[in-house]
Amino acid sequence: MDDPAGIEPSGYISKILPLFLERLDQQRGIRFLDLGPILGANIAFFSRRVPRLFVCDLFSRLNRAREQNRPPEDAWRTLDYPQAHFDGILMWDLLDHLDTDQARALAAVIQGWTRPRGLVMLLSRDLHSPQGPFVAFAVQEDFQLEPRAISFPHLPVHRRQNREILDLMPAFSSLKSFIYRNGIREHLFRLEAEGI
Amino acid sequence: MFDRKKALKPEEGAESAMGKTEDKPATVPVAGREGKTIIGEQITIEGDIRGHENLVIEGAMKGKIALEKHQVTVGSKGRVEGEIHADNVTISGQLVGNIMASGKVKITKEADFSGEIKAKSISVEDGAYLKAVIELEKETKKQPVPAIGKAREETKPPIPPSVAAGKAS
Repeated sequence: MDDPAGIEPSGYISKILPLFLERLDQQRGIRFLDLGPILGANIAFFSRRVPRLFVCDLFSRLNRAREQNRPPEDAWRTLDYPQAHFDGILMWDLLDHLDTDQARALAAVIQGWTRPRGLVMLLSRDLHSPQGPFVAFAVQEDFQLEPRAISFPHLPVHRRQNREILDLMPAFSSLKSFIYRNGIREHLFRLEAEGI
Repeated sequence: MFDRKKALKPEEGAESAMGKTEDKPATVPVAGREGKTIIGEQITIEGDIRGHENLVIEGAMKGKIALEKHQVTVGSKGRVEGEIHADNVTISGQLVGNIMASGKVKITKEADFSGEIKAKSISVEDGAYLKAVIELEKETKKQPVPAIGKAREETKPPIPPSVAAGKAS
């Protein structure tokens, strides 16, 4: 892990994450899945806010699959989460590291894991963002997202326009999105009841 | 059956009633001066472990570990398949199974863990390999008379409304 100073994109205060958690907070006994890289700060942050925190680093699984010349689908094929299990799923920018067919396949899997009316938060990079090293975000208490450089050398980068992201999530309705000066766009999706 | 090493050095051992340190290592832990058992790298165990001292596993272990008031450490070479019930648990090696800790669970970056964690608190080093379900013991506020018809309050850090608002597209 590198020092966050000088890492692009820069840190920022998330507008969507508090909204995501606020909506989940209105339900009882929620199940929350964080698919991001394992960062102690994030586990500390979410484990105090949700009763059951599921963590599974899909980024390192993807990186490992590519390193071993296995298809990216291997990263999630063996995950045994039940259907319609989660009230909230935090995908971070997973779709930015998959081509369109793979991204569509993962979005379908995420759809299956999400309960009707469940929420999914997604990050994506602006089309013109620099192709720098992989950056994860560590959530701070004030919803500041601080960049952490993590070595995932085998993860490709696919930048997309906003409408392309929306097209990848057809069963979900977009509740809100917000674009920041550092080129990050945050999306909050809700699975429509008929999406299952 | 396994390589059992007492970590108690003579100077750390239980003192006799006369206040002198005994020559041989103590075998019975004394409050605040407990020993530990180390399962070495070349040892494989299948079965349950119960007892009253700390445990370090550097070998392979399959079964349940019940050391409720003690510390269990799965070292960087350790491979465990089963449940761990302990006070504090540190994982630096491989664990497939569940952890029930009355105290703290620490997962280091070398760890490869798959299972459920129930604990009072947790710390995880960046880069650890986890597929986990984490449930922390909630600190409940003591309220002498619970309000009827009012939802139970849980101690969750508040979400500032100022950050929830924002310019959305």
